[in-house]
Amino acid sequence: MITISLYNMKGGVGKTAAAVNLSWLAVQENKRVLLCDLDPQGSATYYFRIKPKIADGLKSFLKGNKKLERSIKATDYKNLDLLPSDFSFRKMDIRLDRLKRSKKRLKKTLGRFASDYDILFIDCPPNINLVSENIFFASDLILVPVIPTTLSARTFKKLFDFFKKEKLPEQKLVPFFSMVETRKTLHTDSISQLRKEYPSFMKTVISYSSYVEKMGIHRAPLGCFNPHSRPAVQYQALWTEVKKQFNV
Amino acid sequence: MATTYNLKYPKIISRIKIEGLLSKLGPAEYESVRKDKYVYFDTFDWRLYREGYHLYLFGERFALYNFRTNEMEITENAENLKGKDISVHNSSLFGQIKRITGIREPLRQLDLRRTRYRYRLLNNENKSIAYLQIDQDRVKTERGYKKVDQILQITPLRGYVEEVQPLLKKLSDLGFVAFKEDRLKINLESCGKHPATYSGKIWINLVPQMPAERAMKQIYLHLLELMRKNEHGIIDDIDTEFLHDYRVSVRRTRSGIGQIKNVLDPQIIEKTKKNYSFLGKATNKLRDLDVYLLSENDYKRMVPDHLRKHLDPFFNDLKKNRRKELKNLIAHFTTPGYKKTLHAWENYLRREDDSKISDGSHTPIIDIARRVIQKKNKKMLQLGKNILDTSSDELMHRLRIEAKKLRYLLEFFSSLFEQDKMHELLRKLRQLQDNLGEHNDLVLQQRYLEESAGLMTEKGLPAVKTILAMGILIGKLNEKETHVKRAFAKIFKRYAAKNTQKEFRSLLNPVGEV
Repeated sequence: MITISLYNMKGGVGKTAAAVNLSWLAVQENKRVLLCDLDPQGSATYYFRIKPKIADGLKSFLKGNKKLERSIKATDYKNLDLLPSDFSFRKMDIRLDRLKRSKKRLKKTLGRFASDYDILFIDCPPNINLVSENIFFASDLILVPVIPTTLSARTFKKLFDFFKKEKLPEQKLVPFFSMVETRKTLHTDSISQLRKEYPSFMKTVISYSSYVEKMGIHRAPLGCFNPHSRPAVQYQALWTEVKKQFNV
Repeated sequence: MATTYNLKYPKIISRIKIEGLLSKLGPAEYESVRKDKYVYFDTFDWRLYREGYHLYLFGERFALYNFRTNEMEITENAENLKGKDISVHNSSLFGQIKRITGIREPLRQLDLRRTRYRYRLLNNENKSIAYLQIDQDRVKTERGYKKVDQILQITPLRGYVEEVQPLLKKLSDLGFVAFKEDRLKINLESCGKHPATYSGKIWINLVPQMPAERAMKQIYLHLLELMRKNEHGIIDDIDTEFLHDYRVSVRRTRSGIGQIKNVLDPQIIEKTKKNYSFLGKATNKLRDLDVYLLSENDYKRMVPDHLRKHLDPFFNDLKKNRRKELKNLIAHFTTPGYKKTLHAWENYLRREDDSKISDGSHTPIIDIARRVIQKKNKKMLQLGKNILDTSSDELMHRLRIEAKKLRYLLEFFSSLFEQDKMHELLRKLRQLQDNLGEHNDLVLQQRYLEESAGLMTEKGLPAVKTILAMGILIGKLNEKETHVKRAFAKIFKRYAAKNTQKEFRSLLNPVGEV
C-alpha cells in the first residue's frame, strides 16, 4: 500500500477536491483505495454523503483497533472506501502529545489496512503541528496544492524549510499548482518564479473552476457529473503524472 | 467478506409486484438488468456437491465455486463442451475437479436461465447503503423452462450492515422470508433432482423388533432401486462406477439371499438367486476389463520407459474386448426377460400381505442380525487362523469372500446397532478387506496377463517387446503380491485381537440385553 497525503498548512487551497478526485480516478483503474479524512471539518466525508462519525472517536482512531476497522464505509464507487472524519479529530495533536512514539502513531494506525488496499489517500487538516508530523512520517508522497499567490508561496517555502531543518526527506514533497487563474498576471508570474525555485512542482496545473465548487452540490467526484470539464481533465493529467513519476 | 441476506417471497409474483413492495422500503435506484445462462455439472453421485462445490459453465467460462466458504476457487475458459461431457483436460480446473470426482465423470445436471435486476438502496442522504438483486430463475425440465421462486439478495455496503437491519425487518413485515439453503439445491429440486441423495453406500432404517420379512424386503428393494439408478450410466457408458455400483447391489442381494434364509417365499428366492447369479456372471468380464483399463497408467509405470509403448497392443486388445462385452450387456438390459424378471421381483418386494410366509418371517430382525453376524465372524476368524498356519492362496480367497459377506451383513443391519462401535468395526474390517482384495487382484492380474500373452502369441499378434513388457509386469505384480501377503498377518491379527472381538461382542450384545 502506498500512502499519498494531500497536505498544506494553509486552508482552502484544494486539498479535499484533489483527494476526492484522485481517489476516484485511482479506483477507475481497479486499484483498491482507502481515503482517510483527517480533517475535522469532514468535507471529503460530506462529498461522499457519509456521516462524519468514528465509533469511539479519536480514542479508537489512535488505538487503531477493530472499532476503527468497523468505522470504514464503502462509498458509492466500487473499491473506494472512506475512513470518515470525526469532530474529535480537532483534538488529535493534544492526544498525540500524551502518547509514546507520538510521531509514529498515525503510521501504525493506518498500517493495519496495508493488505486491504493498494493506495491510501489522506486528506489532511490545514495545520502544522504534531498531527502534520505524523502525516509526514506516515506518507510515501505528500502532494501539496499551492495557489500561485504570494501568501501561498510563502507557506510552501516555510514547509520546505521545515523539512530541511527537521532533516525530513524533501523528495516526499510533491507540490502542484491549484486554483490557478491564468488571466491573473500574479498567478502566471508566481508560477514561473516558483518553478525556478522549486523544480519539483508538477507540470500539471489545476485551474480555478466553478465545477470544483459544484462538487458540493452534486456531492460526487467531478468524473461522475462532469467528466469532460477542464478541472476533471486536469485531475486526470495530474494523476497520470504522479503515477508515472513515482511509479504508483 | 460481504454479508448477503437471501430472501424469498412465499409465492411466485411478478417483478412489478415485487418492485411495488420494495417501494415501501425507501429510496432506491434501478441500476441494471442482465440475462445469463448457467449450466451446472456434477457426477452422478454428486461428489462435487458433497464436497461443497458448484461447477458451472457461465458464458464461455467454467467456474468452480465453493459454497461453504463462499469463494470462487477457479475459473477457466471453456475449451470444449460436447453434450454431457466437459472436456477441459490439461488445465488446472480439470486437475482440481479430478481430485474431487476421482473416477467419475461430471454430467450436465441443470440448465438455468437467470434474469437479474439490480438496484441500489439509498439512505436519506441519497447515499447507497446496499445492493439489492432480484433473481428470476428458470430451470430446464422435460416440458421446457419452468419458473422458480424469485430470490431477493441484499448485500450491505461496507459499514452499512446496521443501517440495513430496519429494511430487513420491513421486508419481513411485507411477507418476505429469509432462507439459508443453497440456491442450486432449490433450483435442482424444482426440476425434481435431489443433490447428494444418491450414494452407493446403503443405509436402511430398521427397527429391532421389525418382522424379518419386512426388513429384508426393505433391504432388497433398496438394492434393486440402486441397480436401476445405475443402468442408464452403464448403457450411456458415462464412467465405470455405474457398473461397479450395479454389481455391488447384485452381490449384496445375492449375499443376503444366501445368508438369511427362511424369511421370504422360498420359491421366489430360488428364482431370484438364479437370476442374480446370471446378472453377476453377465457383468464379470466387463468389470474385469474395466479394472485392467483403469490400471493402464499404473501398469505402464511399472515397466521401463522404453518398453511402455509396447504394452499398447495388450491394452488395445482389452479395449476391443470391452466394447464387445458392453454391447452384449446393453443388449441384455433391453431384453423383455430382464425387465420382466426385475419387475416381478419388485412386485413381490412391494407386496405387504405375503401369504406364502416362511418360518422366520415374523422373527424380529435384530435376532436374525445378531445370529448371522456372529456366525460369519466366527467363520472368518477360523479361516484367518488357518491362513496364518498354511499361507494358502486359496484360503485367502475364501476369507476375502467371507469378509465381504460379513461387511454386507453389517451394512444391512447397521441401523440396529450403536453407530460409533459399528463404524470402528467396519473400519477394521475394511483394512482387512483392502489387504485381501489387493492380494486377490494381484493374483488374478498375473494370471490374466499370462493367459493373454499365451492367446496373443497363438494369434501371432504381439511383438517380442510386448511379451517382454508383459513379463516384466508379471514380475512386478508378483513382487507386490509377496509384499501384500506379508502384511496380511499383521492386519488379520489386529482384527482377531481380543479387544476387537470384545468390541464385536459388545456391539451385538449391549450390556443389559445379554
